[in-house]
Amino acid sequence: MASGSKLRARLAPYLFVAPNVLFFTTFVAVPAVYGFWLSLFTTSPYRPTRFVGLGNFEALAHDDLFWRAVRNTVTFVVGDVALVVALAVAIGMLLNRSVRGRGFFRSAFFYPVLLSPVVVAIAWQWILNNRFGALNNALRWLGMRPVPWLLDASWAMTWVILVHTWATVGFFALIVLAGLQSIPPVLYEAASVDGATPLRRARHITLPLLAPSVLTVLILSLIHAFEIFDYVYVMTGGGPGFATLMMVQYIYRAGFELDQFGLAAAGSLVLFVIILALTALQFVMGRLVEAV
Amino acid sequence: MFGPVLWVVVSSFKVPSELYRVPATFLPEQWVFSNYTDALRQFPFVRYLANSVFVTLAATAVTLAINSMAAFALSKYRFPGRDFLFLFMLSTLMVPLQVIMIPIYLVVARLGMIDTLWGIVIPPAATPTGVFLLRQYMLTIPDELLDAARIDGAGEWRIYRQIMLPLTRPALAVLAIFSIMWRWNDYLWPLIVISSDRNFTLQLGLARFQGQLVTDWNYVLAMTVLSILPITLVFAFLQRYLVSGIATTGLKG
Repeated sequence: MASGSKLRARLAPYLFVAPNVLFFTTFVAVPAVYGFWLSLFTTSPYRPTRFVGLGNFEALAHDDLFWRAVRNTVTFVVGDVALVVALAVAIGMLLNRSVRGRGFFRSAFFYPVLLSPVVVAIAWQWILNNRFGALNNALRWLGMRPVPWLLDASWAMTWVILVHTWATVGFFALIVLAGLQSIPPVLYEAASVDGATPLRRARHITLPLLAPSVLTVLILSLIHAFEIFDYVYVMTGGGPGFATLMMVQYIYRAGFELDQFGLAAAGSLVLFVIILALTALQFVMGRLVEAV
Repeated sequence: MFGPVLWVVVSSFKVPSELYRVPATFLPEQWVFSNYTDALRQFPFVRYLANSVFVTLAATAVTLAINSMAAFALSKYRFPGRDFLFLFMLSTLMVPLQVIMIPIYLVVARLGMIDTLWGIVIPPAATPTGVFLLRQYMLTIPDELLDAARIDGAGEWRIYRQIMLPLTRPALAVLAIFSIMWRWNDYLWPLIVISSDRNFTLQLGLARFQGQLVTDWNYVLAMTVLSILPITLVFAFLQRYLVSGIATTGLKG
């Protein structure tokens, strides 16, 4: 009796983790390994599945559209991350001030984070609509020519970056805000007593103590940006032409529209390596920042 | 920041002739509900809504159940392989859907879940974020409570159900809100899994209406407003929990 319950107590943790482990194994670990395997084959509805070794990666290297997708993604990432990090720090600092209506501002910046990518894309499409959009209406009212915002390649990329920043910056600002609030006020008081100027306080207290939060924002926003799909897919469909086609859409298109699973799996691996490298970078930099 | 959404809301109450007028009016000359009633009559919006509600609730229930069980084991037991299992679960954070969507589709197809609502519910139900969030919270609950219950003869399952779960309620609430938000707003995974119209979620339905050659903006706008109502209510009443959840985990999902 006693040994029975002891055995059960020993088994219990394994039974408790079992469902979660089963889910992760089936829907993350197995697909991840399967993805590697799949990338070594050509699969197409018209020909039998065939082992091609690194052939899919070679095909990617020769595919202009893949490079286009890589270039588009990098352009997007650079613009998006620069804006998000700068604005998140600015907004985080603004929200940390004890100003009137701080709660309202916090809500205002945070609300878009909760909206689905589809809703965000639709709302902005309506605003940017060629003929009836609010923005072109405003331009006409000002006596200027309306601009076909989403039908012009460089404007479309610009708007995709701006809209994604609008939708996600509130989340990153919260991380900065949490970082600011974890700085003990005593430090500032002591520095003031010692006669430190606001600039020196910012340089020697805020900057070093906020660095880990900013680093988190930087890496997380980089990863999020590389994973971009839904906002852009619904807003521009990757267009005009292929001007805003991102890596994830390239993979989606290769796999689910052209039925080339092997090629799509190879494209996924390229993206995987980028994301893994960024995660590793976060780990290493985190250690460095902590060591300073 | 509220501007774009307010503009959508205001626009959704305009009659089509006013909606498409150039120059546009700011507020509707006459507030009408016809966009809403017509859209509900012409499109299987109610069906999409029901699908979304089912997917959201079922997925959230599964997530809470299996994540809390795993978190309990990882925070309150010492057993060989514990650290490995914890790292294994956290490492799944590094493998987002975007990089395994092709093989995961094939796995789900093998399991016969393609184009079913369960196919949307099950694969993303175990979340590393949830395990991490619940484990951190459970670590703060004193072990003495559990030992006392054991001395009183309570079994392990009973300890989990009657002691652990009630004490973890605040963290479970945070995870529930997150899960509802993730599932309600999810687009990429349903897009991959679902092919037939009757299994569409709201997000799939909205994206498709909007993607048509001639977009009926009056309907699209009205349905968009309906789709953001629940999220907006969650936001209005539970914002505090969301903010604290993000601040403690630094995770969005």
